[in-house]
Amino acid sequence: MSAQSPRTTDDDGVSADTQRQQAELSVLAIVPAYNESGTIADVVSETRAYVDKVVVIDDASTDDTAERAREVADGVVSLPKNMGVGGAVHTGYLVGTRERFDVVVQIDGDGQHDPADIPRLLAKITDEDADMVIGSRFLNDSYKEYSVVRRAGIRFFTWEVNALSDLDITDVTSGFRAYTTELLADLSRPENSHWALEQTLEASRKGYKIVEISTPMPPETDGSQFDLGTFLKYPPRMIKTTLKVLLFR
Amino acid sequence: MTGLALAPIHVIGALAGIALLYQSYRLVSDRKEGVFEFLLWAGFGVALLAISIGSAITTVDLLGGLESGMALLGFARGPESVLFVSNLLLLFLVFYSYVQLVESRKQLSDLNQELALLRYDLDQRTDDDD
Repeated sequence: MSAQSPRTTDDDGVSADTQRQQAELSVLAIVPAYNESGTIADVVSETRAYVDKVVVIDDASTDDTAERAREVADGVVSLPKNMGVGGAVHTGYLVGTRERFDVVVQIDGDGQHDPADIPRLLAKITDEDADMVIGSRFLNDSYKEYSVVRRAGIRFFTWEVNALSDLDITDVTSGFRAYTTELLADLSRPENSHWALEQTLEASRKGYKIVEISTPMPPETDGSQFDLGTFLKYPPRMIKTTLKVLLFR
Repeated sequence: MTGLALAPIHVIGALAGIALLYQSYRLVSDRKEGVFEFLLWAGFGVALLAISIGSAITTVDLLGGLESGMALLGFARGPESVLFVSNLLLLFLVFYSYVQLVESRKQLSDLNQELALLRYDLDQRTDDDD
C-alpha cells in the first residue's frame, strides 16, 4: 500500500480515537469520471487529503478528463470504451482489491460529493464495523433541489431494496460510498446501469452491514441525466436487475 | 380412467421440456447470471412440457381449448397453424440471438476492463521505476 499523501483529518468532526483507527486503515479513493475535465482536478486534490491513494477511472471520456486527472491523481485507469458507471466503479473495485487496500471510497468526479465527508464515511467502518457506508441526500434537505421525477425514482428504488431486504436506508442510488475490500471481493460484477441497486441488494442478502450518513449532495451542475426518457427505461431494467439478484446472488 | 393417452411424441416432448428446465436450473445453480437466458430456457421448457402433457390429457380438452383460443385470434387449421409454429420458432431464435448478444457484450466489457487495468499496471510500474 502506498501512503503518498498524509491524511489531514483534524477538523472533520470525528473523534481522536476514530482518527487514529482511520489512520491504520489503508484507504483508496476511486473517482469514476466521464467528461469531467472541468471538475476532476479539484475533486482529486481535495480527496487526496483524506485517503492514501486516489485513482481516477476515466470512462472513455471524449474531452481531456484523463490528462487533467493524470496531473493530480496517483493513478488513472483509462477504459478504451465507455462502460457506464457500473462498469467504471467495478474497475475501481478491482484496483482496490488487487492492491490490497482495506477500504475503498467511491466519489463522483463531477464535484457533487464533498470529500470533507470522507472521514465520517470511514468512521462508520471503524466505529460501527459497517461493511458499506452510503452518503444519503435524503437525511438532509439537499434532496429538495432535485426534480420531482428524479426524487420519485430514487424513492421507488430505495423502497424496492428495503422491501426485498431487511434494510432501512433512504438513498440507494447514491454514488458516494465507502466499502471494505472484504465486501467488494465477495460481490459480483454489477450491471453497467442500476449498479447501486444491485450491489446494495446483493450485499444485504449476503449479510453485510450497510449504514448511511447524511451528506449534502446538490444536483449535477451540467444537468441531470435522469430525465423522463431515462425514467421510462427503468422499470424493465429494474425487473431484470431484481430477478438477477433474486435468482443468482 | 387415467385420462392420459401418452403417445411417443408426448414422451419425447415432455423429456425435451424437462431438459430445457434442467438447463435453466443449471444456470441458477452455477450462478451464470443470465436472466434472459434463464427466461429463455425456463419459458420454452414450461411451454413444451405443458403442450406435451396437455395434449396427452384426454379428460380435459386442452387442445380443443387451445384451438378455440387460436380461432379467436384468427388462426384456423392448416397453413395458419404452420405459420403460428413458425412464428414461435422465430421468436425462439430472436430470443436466443439476444441472449448470445448480451453474453458477447459482457465478454467485450470484461476485455475492455482488463485492457484498461493492464495499462494502469504498466503506468504504475513505470512510475515506480522513475
